[in-house]
Amino acid sequence: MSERNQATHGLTRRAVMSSGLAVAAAAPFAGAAAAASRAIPETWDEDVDVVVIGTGFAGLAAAHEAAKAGASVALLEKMRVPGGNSIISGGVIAAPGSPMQAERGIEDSADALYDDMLAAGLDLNHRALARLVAEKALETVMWSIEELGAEYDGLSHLGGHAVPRSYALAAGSGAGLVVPQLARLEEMGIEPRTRTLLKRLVRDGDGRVKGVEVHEGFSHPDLDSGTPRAIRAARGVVLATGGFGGDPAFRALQDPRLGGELDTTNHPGATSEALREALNIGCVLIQPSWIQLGPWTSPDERGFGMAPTFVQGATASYGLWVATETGERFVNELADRKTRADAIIRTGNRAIAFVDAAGWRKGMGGNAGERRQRMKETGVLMEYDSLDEMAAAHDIPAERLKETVERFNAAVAAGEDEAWGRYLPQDIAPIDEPPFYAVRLAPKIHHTMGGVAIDTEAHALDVSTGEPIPGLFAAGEVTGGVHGASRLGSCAYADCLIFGRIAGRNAAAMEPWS
Amino acid sequence: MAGPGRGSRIAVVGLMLCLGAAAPASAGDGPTISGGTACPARAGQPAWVRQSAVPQPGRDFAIGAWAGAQADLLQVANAATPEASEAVTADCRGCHEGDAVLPPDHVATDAMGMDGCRACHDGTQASDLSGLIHLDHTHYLAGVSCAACHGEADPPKEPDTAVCETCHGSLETLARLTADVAPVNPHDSPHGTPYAECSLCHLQHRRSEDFCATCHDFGFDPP
Repeated sequence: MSERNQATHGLTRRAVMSSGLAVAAAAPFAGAAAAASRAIPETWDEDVDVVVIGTGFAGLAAAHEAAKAGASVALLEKMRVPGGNSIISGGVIAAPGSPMQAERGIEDSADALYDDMLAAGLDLNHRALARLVAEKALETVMWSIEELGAEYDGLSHLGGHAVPRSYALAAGSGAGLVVPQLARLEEMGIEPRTRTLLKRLVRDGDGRVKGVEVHEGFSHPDLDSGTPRAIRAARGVVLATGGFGGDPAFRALQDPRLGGELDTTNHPGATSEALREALNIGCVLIQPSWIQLGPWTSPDERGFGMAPTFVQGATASYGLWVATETGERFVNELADRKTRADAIIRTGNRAIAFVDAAGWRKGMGGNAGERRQRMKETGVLMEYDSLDEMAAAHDIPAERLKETVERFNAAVAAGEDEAWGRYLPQDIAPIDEPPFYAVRLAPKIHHTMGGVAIDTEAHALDVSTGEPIPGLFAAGEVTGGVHGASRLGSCAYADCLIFGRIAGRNAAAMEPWS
Repeated sequence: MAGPGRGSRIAVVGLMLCLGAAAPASAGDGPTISGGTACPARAGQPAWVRQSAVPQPGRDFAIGAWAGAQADLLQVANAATPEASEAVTADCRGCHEGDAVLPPDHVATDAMGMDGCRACHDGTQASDLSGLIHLDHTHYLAGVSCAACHGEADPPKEPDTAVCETCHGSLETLARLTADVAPVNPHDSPHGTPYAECSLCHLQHRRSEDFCATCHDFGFDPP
C-alpha cells in the first residue's frame, strides 16, 4: 500500500474519485488505469478474497487452487449452466511422454509437442507461454487423474501432432473433467453462481483491480437484465471468460470474412463482452484475427454435433478425405486444423470424409453401433454398400474415387503415404470392407486464438506499461499468445488447466488491499 | 439437412415426451403423478418437505380461491402459499377472470381436474394446449402445492432437480423411459450433471423450452 493510498484511506470513495485525474496522474505505476479507472462502488455488497469469472476448465481450476490456498472465492458464471465451452468440448488433452504412449511404444516429449505447437501456430506463438504449456501438459493430466479423479480410456491422434499423444476422457466430452472439478469445489464449499454476468472490472486509480460489478439473475443474451451487485476482491480477480467464437459481430471486426451466419461449435455464451470490459480497463488485445475453424464439422447438423468424433477419430487415421469434384485427396487428413480447414474451403466445401467398415470399428471403439444409429438418424452420417454408390450420391467421378482409394491402399501396403505424408497408425489396413461411411465437411468457427496478453504467471498485462495489472489474472481462451495462428487439438485443455491453476494460486497469494 | 420425414418424427418425439412425463409410472419402477398414490406430495407429506418446510394445516387451498388474482402463481405463492394435498379442480375463470384465456363458449371447467382438461387438450389434436397450459397448472391440479416445490422460502427459489425426482423418479429412471426417443435420449445428455437439471427444459411458469436447441437440432418439444 503506497503512502498516497494510506493518505486517502478513510475518505469516502466519492471524495477520492472526484479528484480522480489528480490521483491517477500522480500514481506512477497506474498504467492504463489513469485513463480507464472509473468510480469504485460506494459500498460493496460482498467481500471475498478472489473473484473468478467463468466456469470452464480455466475458471474452475483457478477457483480450485485459490480455495486450496485458503482464499474465499466467488465463482461467477453468466449462463444457466456451468462449464462454458469446456463441458461440451471433445474430451481430449495433450500429454507428451505419457504412460499410455509408453504402452504402445510411442516416443514423445515436451519438446516435440512444443515444436508441433509452433509449426501449427506459424511461429506466432508467444514462446514462453507455449513452452510452459508443453512442459506442464503431462503433469497436468496426471494431476487431473490423481486430484480430480478424471478417467481416461484412450489415446487419440489429433491433427498437427507428430504422434498420438492426446488422452481421451472416458466420458467422451469435457464433462469428464468439468464434473469432477465441480465436485471438488463443492467439497470445498464453492458453487458456481450461475446467471451472474460480469458488467465491470473495477480498477482503481492506483492501477489495481479491486473487485467486480455484476448482474445477478442475468438472462442471456440481454446484457441489461439482472440486478446489480458489487463484489470486492481483496486479493485478486481471475478472468476466465472464454473466447468470442459465438459473437459474430466481434468476430467480423477481427476477420471480416468470419461474421454473419457462419456456424460455430461454441456454446451461445461465447461472446466478447467480458473481453471488451478487460480492454476498457487497460488490458492488451493480441492476435485477435486468428480465428480457428474446425475442419471436422458437418453442414448436416448444427454446431459441433456428432461429426467431429467420426471425422477425426475414424476418417483422419483410417479413411480418406476427398474433394467431390475431383474424387481426389486434397490435404493430409492429419494436418493441423488451419491447414485442413483452409483446404476444405478451397474445395468450396465440396468434400467428404469416409472410412470403410474396418475403419469405423477401429476409429469409433466402444458404443459405435449406437452412435452410428444416431448419426444416421440425424442425417449427418451416410452409409453406402459400395464406392460406386457413394460416388453417385455425392456426384464424385467414380473411377477417380476408386483410383484414389487404390493409390492409398498401395501406400498402406508400402507403409508410407508418399502423396501427403500422413502418419499411418500400426493397425491401419486397406480401405476395402463395405459398407462405407461418409460425412460431408464444412468448417465452423471453433476457437479464438487471440485475447488479452498475459505473462507466464497469468498476470494480465497493461496496454500502456506492458507490466502486470495488479490484482488481475487471466487464463484460458480469453487470453492470447499460447497458440499463435492456430491451436493444436487437445492443447486448449492443457492451456486452460495450467494457466487457470497458476492464476488461482497467484490471485490467492496477493496481499489484500485495504 | 435432416432429410424427409423429419417433421413427423418431431411430432412423435413431442408426443412421446408428453406421454413420458404424464405417465412415468408405466414402467412400474417409480412413483407416479397421474392416477397413482405414490407421489409423496399428494399424500401431503413429501420427504423433502419434512426436512425443509413444515406444511401448515388449515390452509387447504382450492384454485378457485385465486379469483381475481391477476398475478402469476409465484406472486400468489408469496402472499399465501397454498397447501393442496388433494387434486383440485380447474375453475379456469376463477383465476383468469378478466383474461381472454377461455373462449366464451368453452365448457364449464369448475369441476375439472387436469384429466378433464386433457380430454380435449391431449397433445394430439388441434385443441392441444400442452405448451400453453404451463406445467404449474398440471402440478397444481394434480394436488402439488406451490410449497411442495418451493418450500417456504420468500422469495421462492428455483427448486433443485432433487425436488422433481421426489415424484418423478430418478434421472436414471427417466432416462430409461425415454431411451427410444429419436434422435437422442433427452434425459441422457453426454454433457454431465450440469446439463441434467429438469428446469433447463421443463419450465413451470412459462412455456417449456428445448434447451438442447441452443446447440442441436433435435426438435424436442418438452412438456
